[in-house]
Amino acid sequence: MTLYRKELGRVLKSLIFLLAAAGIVLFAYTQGVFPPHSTITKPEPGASYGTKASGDPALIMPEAAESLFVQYSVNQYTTYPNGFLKYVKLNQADRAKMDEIIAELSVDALSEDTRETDDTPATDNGSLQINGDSLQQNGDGSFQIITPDGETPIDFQFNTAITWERFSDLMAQADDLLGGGSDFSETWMSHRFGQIPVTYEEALADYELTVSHDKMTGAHARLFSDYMGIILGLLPVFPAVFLCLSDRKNIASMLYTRRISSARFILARFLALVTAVMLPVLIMCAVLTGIHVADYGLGNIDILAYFKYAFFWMLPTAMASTAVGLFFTTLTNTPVAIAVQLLWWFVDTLGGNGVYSFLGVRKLQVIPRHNALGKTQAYLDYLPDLIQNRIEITLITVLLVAFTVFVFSAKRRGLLHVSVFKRSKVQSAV
Amino acid sequence: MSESNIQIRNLSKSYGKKQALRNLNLDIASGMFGLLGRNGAGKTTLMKTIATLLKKQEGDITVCGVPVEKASEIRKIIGYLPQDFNMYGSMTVSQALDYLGVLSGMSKVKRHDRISILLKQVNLIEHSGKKVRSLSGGMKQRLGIAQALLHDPEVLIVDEPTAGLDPEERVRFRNLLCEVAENKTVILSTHIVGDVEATCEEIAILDDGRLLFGGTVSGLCNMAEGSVYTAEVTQNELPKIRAAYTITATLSQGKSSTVRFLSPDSRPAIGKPVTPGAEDAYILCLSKAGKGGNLHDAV
Repeated sequence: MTLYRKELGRVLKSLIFLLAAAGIVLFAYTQGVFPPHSTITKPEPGASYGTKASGDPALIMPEAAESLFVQYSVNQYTTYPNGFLKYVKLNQADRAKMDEIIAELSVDALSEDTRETDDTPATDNGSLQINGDSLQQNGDGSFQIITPDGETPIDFQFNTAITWERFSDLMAQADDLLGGGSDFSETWMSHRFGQIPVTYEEALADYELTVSHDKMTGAHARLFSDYMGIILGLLPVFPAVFLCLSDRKNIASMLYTRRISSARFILARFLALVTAVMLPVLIMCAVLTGIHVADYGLGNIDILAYFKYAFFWMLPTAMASTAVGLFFTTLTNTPVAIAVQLLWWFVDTLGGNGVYSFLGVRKLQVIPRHNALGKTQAYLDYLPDLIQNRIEITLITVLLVAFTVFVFSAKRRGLLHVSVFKRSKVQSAV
Repeated sequence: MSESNIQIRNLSKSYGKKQALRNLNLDIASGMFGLLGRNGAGKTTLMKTIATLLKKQEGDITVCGVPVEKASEIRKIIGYLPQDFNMYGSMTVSQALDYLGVLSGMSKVKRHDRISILLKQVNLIEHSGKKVRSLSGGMKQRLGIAQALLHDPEVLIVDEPTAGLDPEERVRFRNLLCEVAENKTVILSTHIVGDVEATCEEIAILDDGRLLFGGTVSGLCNMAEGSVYTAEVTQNELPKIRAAYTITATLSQGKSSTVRFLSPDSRPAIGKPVTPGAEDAYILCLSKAGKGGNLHDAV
């Protein structure tokens, strides 16, 4: 406990921590969650309540097919493999395969004109220029290619006779041709297409659930956790790296020859780092709770909601990025952990294997998302996955800390020399 | 032998193809023990191995009867001052000692008491609130010795402590080491013969990982008896003397110079025998090992 207090004092006094803490608070401020920019109000009839995924094949299929046709027409497809935006242009062989998919999706067989379209991108007015032709949407939702020389327009009319199973199979083939990560993948198709408006009754039901289950602050805390997760998935690595790097310059041997066990030393350091990065978060939680008491009244809110979310949702994220910093810096004596965490953060925030969702959690995702104020039912739906995810991330953290103890122990006995950027200086010990 | 001693038997250690220690046997009793040798002779490897910072490959080491494999036990009974000692610059002298005291498992009361005693002993009491980064080289080394003594270890391992200190600080530091060695075993590793001569009774000389000499300073000097000469030569004769003998000292006096040189095998044509000093004997020892080279670098 004494060592924990001393390590905490060292972290809190360090410039890098102060910068990280300022970054955390500034991020919360710029994202409109500290102080909160909006309050939860009862929906009024006749207003707009946003959209939701219908999951209805009758809506999904024509929208998805038309989207594929538009991209096919210019041979430029937007995909997000591993979370990163990528424009795909198909080669001749793959275009031929895509021709067959489009042909099967369309009522009429494709004309040669459509198949040989150029790679010209979309124009600003929303129509597409293809070899001087224009792609326009008709009133019935079908698409038409208009040629300037007055030739017959080429229409795309979705073949409604196609079954959902066959359609899904064709979309999967299209996604494979595009290298994955497209809107047509099984994971994302039902999210991207077939959106329908949220009704007043649904909005009212969500509001009532927010009031009864979340007691207002729960919903606010979730949105706060959503943004804090993004920043806590990255910034804690910096104090961890700098604290461990401060052991260089001949200080390490002073620590190695002390009586303390490696486990106690690493654990005290880890807990101190996590406490430090959570401190600004907890202070903001306290302030936000005070703000909500003023907004909704003490009796209408869950006064501990922010703190529950801080420990359940945000803490595992902060622990994971701290553990990455601790482990890789102890192992290599270099700041390589920052690059590792940055990579994890990018892949995590940009979606991993598909287009990113702002609501929910994937397996081993360090930063769960809930970018909405309310949507309590959606939260309750993915809550089991979230619990599993938080346990998994905590277990990864425990493993990383255990590995750090092992590495520290081996280094203090001279059993491990890892050199990343320069050759080992073992010889200099002679 | 007293309880507070170190036994080293058939110790070998290598880094890849480089053999750092070769079948080393050594007994270190209570008091000051000097470990002499060139840079790269294996001194630091030996010190680090005793301090559990390096794993031995062959042989045995026991510290106060505890095998060095029991690292956690060894750490309780040793204090270590590494070469180029440093500590977190943002900490004050007191904070640094308190932090290291916590790592040594000391209670708050014991830390408080020991820090007061040691700061007085190393003459840093007036600088206890000073940041480590603002200490002079000598003050930092005194802080180093204080941290090594903090948990009152039975064995103190001090690696090249006087390098970079001015003469006054060096003498003060040597005296401090002698003071603390009264009831402890202090191993002083250095390539500065003067430090060992002034402080240690027992010494060992290492060269290329081998033990060249183990015994008392006077014993080392006795070995050089009849091998050290002094002669007054002109500047023109000096190159010939340099070529023929190992010179341990040269004092220029205008057109002539007084040279002190080694001639272990035969009486030289010039000069007269003198009583050997530790430095003469040390260089003779290295010279006999066939590693003469530029011996002046070793002194």
